[in-house]
Order: sequence, then structure tokens, then C-alpha cells
Amino acid sequence: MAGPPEPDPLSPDAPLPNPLPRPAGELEALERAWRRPTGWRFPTVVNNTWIGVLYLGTALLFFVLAGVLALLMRAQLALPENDLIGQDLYNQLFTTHGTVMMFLFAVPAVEAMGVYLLPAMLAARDLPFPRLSAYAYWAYAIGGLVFFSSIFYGAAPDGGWFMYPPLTGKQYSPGVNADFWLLGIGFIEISAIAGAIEIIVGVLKNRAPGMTLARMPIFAWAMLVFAAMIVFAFPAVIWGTILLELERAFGWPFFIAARGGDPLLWQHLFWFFGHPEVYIIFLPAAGMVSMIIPAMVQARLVGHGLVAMALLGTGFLSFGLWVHHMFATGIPNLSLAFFSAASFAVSVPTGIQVFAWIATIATGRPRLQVPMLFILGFLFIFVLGGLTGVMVAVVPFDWQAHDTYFVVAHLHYVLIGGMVFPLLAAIYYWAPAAGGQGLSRRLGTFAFWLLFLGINLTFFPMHVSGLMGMPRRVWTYPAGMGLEVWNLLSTIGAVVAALGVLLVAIDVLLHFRIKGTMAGNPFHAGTLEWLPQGNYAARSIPRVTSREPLWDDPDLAEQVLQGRHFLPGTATGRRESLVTSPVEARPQYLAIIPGPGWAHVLAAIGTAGFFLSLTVEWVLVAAGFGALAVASVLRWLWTGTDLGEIREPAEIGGGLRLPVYATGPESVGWWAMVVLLLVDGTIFACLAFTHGFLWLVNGDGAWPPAGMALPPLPAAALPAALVAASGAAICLAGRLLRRGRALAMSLAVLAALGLLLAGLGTDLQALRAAGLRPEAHAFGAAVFANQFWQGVHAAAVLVMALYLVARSWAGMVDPVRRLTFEVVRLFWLYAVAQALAGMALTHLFPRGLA
Amino acid sequence: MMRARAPGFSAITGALAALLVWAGHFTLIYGAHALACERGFADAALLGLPAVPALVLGASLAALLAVGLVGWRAWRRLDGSLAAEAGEDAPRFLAWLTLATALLAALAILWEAVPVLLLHSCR
Ligand code: HEM
Ligand SMILES: [Cu+2]
Repeated sequence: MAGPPEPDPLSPDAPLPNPLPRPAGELEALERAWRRPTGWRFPTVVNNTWIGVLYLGTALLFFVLAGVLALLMRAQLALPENDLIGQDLYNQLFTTHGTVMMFLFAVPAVEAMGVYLLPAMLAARDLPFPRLSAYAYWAYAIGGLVFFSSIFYGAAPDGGWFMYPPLTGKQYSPGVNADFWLLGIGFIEISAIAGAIEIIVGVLKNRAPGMTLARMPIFAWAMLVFAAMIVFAFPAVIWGTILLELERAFGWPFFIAARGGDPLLWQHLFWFFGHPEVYIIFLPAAGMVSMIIPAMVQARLVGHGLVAMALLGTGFLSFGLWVHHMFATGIPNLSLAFFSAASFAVSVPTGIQVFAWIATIATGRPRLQVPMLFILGFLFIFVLGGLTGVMVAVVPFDWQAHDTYFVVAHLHYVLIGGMVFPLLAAIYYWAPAAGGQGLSRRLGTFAFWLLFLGINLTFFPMHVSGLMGMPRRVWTYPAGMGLEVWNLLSTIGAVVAALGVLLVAIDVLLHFRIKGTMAGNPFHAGTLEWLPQGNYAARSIPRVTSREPLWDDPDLAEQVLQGRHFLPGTATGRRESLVTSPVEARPQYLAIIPGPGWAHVLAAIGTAGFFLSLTVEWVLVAAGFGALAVASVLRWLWTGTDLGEIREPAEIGGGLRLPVYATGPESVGWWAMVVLLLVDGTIFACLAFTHGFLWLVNGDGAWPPAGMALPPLPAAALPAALVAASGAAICLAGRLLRRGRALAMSLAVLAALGLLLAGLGTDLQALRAAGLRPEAHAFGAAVFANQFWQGVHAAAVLVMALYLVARSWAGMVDPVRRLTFEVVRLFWLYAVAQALAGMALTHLFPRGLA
Repeated sequence: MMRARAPGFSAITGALAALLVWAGHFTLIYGAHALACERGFADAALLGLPAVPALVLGASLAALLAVGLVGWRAWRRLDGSLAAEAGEDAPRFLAWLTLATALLAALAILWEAVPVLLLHSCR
């Protein structure tokens, strides 16, 4: 698109992109495209503001539900030798409380804030895949509620939120309780990943023109790091969950020591996820704090670049800490020292952020409004939790404190200080952005003091009872050991804190309103989410020339509202978003994004139903739900994506003419697939780790163990050749498509499919013919876990291939309209590479060691 | 209107290079050490030096060199002016970010390597 040699339309000196007056009907067309469905069609809504609010509301509901469970526990522990609640129920209570707080409240709540705030903050019309967010929300809401109700039937998981085997293996947990955790939570992780993909692509590709990485708000940095961490952390727990479920359902002994397994494998996989999880929860909260403080004190954030660096650094370093949850497992001291050192290193970037906040407060004029109160409370509680964190990072101290109430105190100080208080600050701060007048200052102040005093009164005494030796996860304790007073104080504190939560809830119910339009900028903040908004977000998409555009350009809001910036209407009559380049945010193309629909809602119902009916082993029902999910996803893709070049390039102002369709690395679809493959590759790395770890603990002679043998090496050559040929065939299909030979392309795709299935099938056949079985020993289990995972990919490729061919026969794939093909090819090549790597793991790895 | 290809994926991974080196270093020392202990190489020797500490220190030196290189190149792109604030110019900001992450990565690598000098390898 060579344009005239005009001045750069993104520079602050260029004239405003669009002139006045705006053509008649422009705003009406925009409003029509973005109208939200009402009445019985409401569940089809995809507008990020609505999904964001639903998402946050549901997360807060889970916060309250899990809080009620906590109150029950505190009631039981108020007095020694109390018999209000029995041991079994207590076990279910703390497991469900911890699980719900971590998976159904904390992660979804911050993800919801991202979905709600990011588009406005980046001045995007919406995130790139609105239906994906909506799908993630519905799957989470339905699945989470069913999961929670398991506690009413005594079927809730009871093995602790980290579900250590062998306690959670079939032998010691024969009921369905553990399966509820594995399948119920397992798929909610899928929903978190869907949200993460959305956020990564949105932050990198949907920023307003001129909002370079250097000008991107800290909250966007935080959400970017948050989402990237989900991409690398959640696969570990997904893989662990798969292994444990395979062990429970089919007796594949990954964690059973008598048959070559090792329970520590679970601990490694779980904590490789579990520690980053803490930062996954904390970083977005820190990002919110970095946005709220500057507005509350009317000063720019001190050390903007340092804070961005700290977020990146924490994102990485937090992956080097997981073994500090395993200090008491007998791992050699030097290994522990590596992790202890990394645990200290990660406190450096966190410290940098804390000092940046304090410095910002010091340079400005603090106003003690409710958000600021919660921020100050956050600083106090979080720093205390950080200090006890440094204490337990010291190995000998941890040996004393491990599994006592000291750890319970530490983790609640960090989580409540680091996440709940910033979230409450954020709710009070951003409530006016939804429309309405915002929340009540009086109620908010009361709630703050109740929460602040209540939380400290609940958890400070636990340091003491913990040091006196009270173990965590006990349903009662004997009288006469000096524990009574500390426990009673904790219970009283919990009641006080609960009153604080109740006040917040009343305030939200009374005063929170969502309006189509926003009231203004009550805190006089500098970032774009305070621009006037409608359902379509900002009327026109501002040209960004600084970090705090509303502070540096007081006229911006008015200009945006008049439609004088980019894309003041809709070029295609549909919903569009402006896609920009990831570093410099230069406009690339106009992406058409799908509007409301039922397909993604049905897909969510199908997904949730599939996993939940598997829990109770209703296999046929599960199959039905699974089919519903797949069919709905295909329909959603068919109707909503890859529309092709439906019109010639469109003017968005400032002399910029943008195409309405893109493929390859410019397109958001391509980026989404790349991120998905990062997730997938991480799962495969966990699979490889499983092999390596089990080999290490079994010893060279026992891998494979006596009496088990792999098929001879030549038997693996044919499958490998077939799989490689499949990769070649799909590349050939790409060439044929480029030449416009649609039919030949379809045939090549089908041939590639046949080759892949034949390759994987013959490999499986050879293993079975050699007499290998998964049940006898961890070696076989590891080999067949690999096969299982390849099979899942084969099934995915099968569906994709048939979908692609069907689209091609419907005339929806051609040399220009080729995004579907490109995305399928990316996944396909990954599956081929993964299959080859998997074969190397099966056939070459044990031989190389022998 | 597009200038020469806008920097994309590679610019972002470039800013992360030092932290990626850190990740590789951490995986390597932890993996190699676990292997050595599990397979009884605790007191093995490498060129006359105790193997585990030699390996860990060697890997750490290599990692520090790599991180130093990343940082030095970023510093050159900053024309040697070490402002405390990154500024709003995008290429400069990325160079600044690269340098800052390199410092953090170097600190973490150093910190993690020191214990081999103090502790017995496998007890
Ligand atoms: C007022 C609020 C809260 C109270 C009164 C509370 C109370 C408790 C109690 C009594 C336990 C069980 C201790 C034991 O028996 O070992 C517990 C465990 C736990 N809580 Fe909370 N909690 C609160 C908020 C939170 C929040 C906000 C989170 C996370 C975001 C959280 C995460 C956890 C976790 C992960 C566990 C460990 C569960 C396990 O041992 O498996 N809690 N909490
Ligand atoms: Cu941790």
C-alpha cells in the first residue's frame, strides 16, 4: 500500500486524522454494528464490557462462596475439641476453599479485569476474539458452579488444593471426589488459557495507533506477562492432571512407587505451575496498583521502565522457584540452595515495584479516597507477607514452619494483601468507568477498616499458633496447649472481615450500574479507559503520542468524541477492530470481528458437560456433550471467521487505507495459533520431563525394566517416514492452493491426513505387538501417555482437515482467502514435529541411555 | 504507508534474550546437578576438579558472558547514556529494557551459582 509522501499520520504534528463535520449516519451505523443483544438473547452477548462484568461478578460470587466455607472452618476451630464439623467434611472444606479461591476466584477475577479494561485502555474496539472470551466465561461459570455444588453431596475433593498422590490415588481416595478436582478444575484451566491467548494477541496487536511498547500502560504490561505466564505454567498442571486421571481411571502407575512411579513427579509438575500461579495472581494486581496510584496522587509513575522490567523479570524468575515448596522432601541441599537463591532473586523486582509506588506517592498529593485506602492496606499487608515469605525461603526455617499455621498465615497475607486488596481498590476506582456514579465513599471506608482490621486479626495470630506447632489442615486441636486464645482471635477476625465483605457487596448492589455511556473522568486520570465510551468503545480511535494522553492533551476526549481520530465509523457495516504492529503500533489492517451468537455458548455447555459427565463416568452422555462442543465450535468458526476480502481497502483517516483482510504473521489468527502452539509445546516438554524423571528415579537398568522390551528399531522407521511424509504433503497442499488448484489441494490434505493416521497407527501397533502394556510399570505408562497425547493431536488434525476440505468444497478457500489453511497448516506441522519427537522419546531415548 | 517491515516477534524476543539465558542456565545447573546426585557422580572429578562445582561454575561463567554480551549491545544502542528512565521513544525503550533485564538476569545467575562454593554437592 504505497501512499503519497505525506507527513507520518501518527506524528503529533500531522493534522487530526479526520475532518469535521462527520457524515450523517456514521455514528448510527457504528451503534447498530455494536448493539448488544437484549432479552432472551442476552446470553449471546460478546461485548467485552458485558462479558467482563459477568466474569468479574461470577468470580466475586465464588469469592463469597469460598469465604463462607472459610467461616465454617473458623467456626469449627474457634474452640478446642469442637465437634461442629467432622474430619471428612473439614477435609472437603479446606480443599474446596483453597481450590475455589485459587482457580475459580483469583485467576478468573484478574482475567476478567483484563477483558473488561484492556480494550478501553488500549482504545481498541474490542479484543480480537470476543467469542473466545465469551466461551471461556460460560465454560468457567457453568463448570465452576457444578464443581462447587459437589460439596453439598459430600463429593467434593478432599486431598488439599495441591492434591498430592499417593493420597489422591485410587487406593487412598477411591470415591469420585478426586475426579471432581481433576476433571472439573482441569478444564477450567483450558478456559484460562483461552483467555490468555485473547489477552496476548489483544495487547500486542490491538493497541491504538502510536501506542508503542514504550507508551503502553503498565496494566497492559502486567496482563501481557500474566497471560504469557499462563501459557507456560498451566500446561504443567494440565499434564499432571492428565497423568493422575489416567492412573486413577486405568491404573497406569505414574505415581505408584511399587510399580516404578514416583509421587514426587506430581509435586514437580504441580509446583512448576503452582509457584508461578502466585505471581499470575499478583502481577495483574500490581499492574492495577501502578495505574491507580498515579491517578490518586496526580503524578506520573516513578520508574515506568523499571516497573515494566520488574514485571518481565518476575515473570521469568518465578519459574525458578517451584522446588521451594518441596524443601522437606529430601532433595539434595545444593539443589535446594539454587531454589532458595532464586527465591531471593525474585524479591528484587517486587521490591523495585514497591519502591516505585512509594516514590510515586511521595512525589504527588495523595487523596485518601477509598481506592487509595485499599492501596495503603495492600502495601502494609503485602509487605508483611513478603517478609514471612523471605523467612520460609530460608531452608532451615522452612523445616520448622512447613505444614504449620505459619504457612497458612504467610500465604493469606500474600494472597489477600497482594490480590484481594488491589482488586477492591480497582473495583472502587474503575466502577465509575462502567457508567453511573461509582460506589459510596462512606460504605467503602467502613468496609476498608473492617477488612483491614479483620484480616490482620484473623491471620496475625496464626503466625503464633503456627510457631507453637499447630499443623495446618487439622479439623481440631487439644485443649491445654496454649492454642485456644490464638484460634479464638482468628475466628473473631474472620467474622469482622466477613462483615467488611458484606458491606462491599451491599455497596456494589446499591450503586454499581452499567450504562452504555460513561460519565466522565472523576479521578482525573491520564489513560485512555477514561475516554467517553459507548458499546463500540471510543467513538474514534485516538492517535496516541504519549503515555498519559489525557494529561498531555486536554482536548483529546472531545476530539475523540467528535470522531476526528481514526476509524470514526464502520467500513464494512460490521464490528471491526484496528490491528496494529506489535512494537510500534502502526496500523496494519481492519479485522472484522464476530458479533453475538449462540454457537460459542453451546460450545461452552458442551465442554463443561463433557468433562463433568466424565467425572461420574457417564460415558455416553459425555460423548453427546463432546459432539455438541465440537459441532458448535465448527459452526462458530465457519460463520464467524476468515470472511475473506469482503471489500476493497478502506480509509480510516489520516490518508491511511487499510485492507479488511490479512493472512500470515500480520493476522491475529496466525498469532493466536502460535500462542496455542507454545502451550502445546510446553505440555510436550512436560511429557518429555516425565520420561526423563521416571528414568532418573528408576535407574538405567530398569528403563525398560526386566521383562519389558521395545520393538526393534527398524519397526519405528516406517511410522516415522509416514509421519514425515504427511508434513511434506501438507506443504504440497499449500503450493497447490497458491496456484489456485482447490480440488488438488483438498486431495493433498486428505492424503496428508491418511499418512499421519497411518504413521501413528503403525507405531502404536508395533508397541502393542512387542507386548508393551501401560499398567504393569511406569515405563509402559510413560510410553502410552505419549501415545495418548499423539492420539489427541491426531483427532484434532482429523477434525481440522475435514473442516478445511469442507470449506474448500464450499468455495471458501482460495489463494487470497487462505487464513484457515495457514492456521491448519501451522498446527499440522507442529503435530508432525511432535509426533517425530515423541517417537524419538519412545524408541531412541531408552536405547541412548542403555 | 508502511515503513520497512515493522519489528515484530523478534524485537520482543530480543528484549527477552538475557532472561532466556537465565532460564537456560537455571535448567542446566538444576538438571545436571540432580543427575549427578541421582547417579552417584557426587564426588566425580572433571580435569582434576570436583565435577559438580566445576560444571556449575563453568555454565555460570558462560551464561554471564552471554548476558553481558546482550547487555553490552543494548548499551551501545543507547549511545552510552545511562538515563534512569527509559523514555518514550520505542527503539530506545526496548534497548533500555534489554539492558535492565540483563542486569537482573546477571544478578540472579550470580546468586544461584554461589552456593556451589559453600555446600557439599549431594547431601
Ligand atoms: C477472609 C478470608 C479468608 C479466610 C478466613 C480464610 C481461611 C482459611 C482457612 C481456615 C484455611 C484452612 C487452614 C487449614 O486448615 O490448614 C484456609 C486455607 C487456604 N486458603 Fe484461605 N481464607 C481466606 C481467604 C483466602 C483467599 C482470598 C485465598 C486465595 C486467593 C485463600 C487461599 C487459601 C488456600 C490456597 C488454602 C490452603 C488450602 C489447603 O490447605 O489445601 N484463602 N483459608
Ligand atoms: Cu512458591
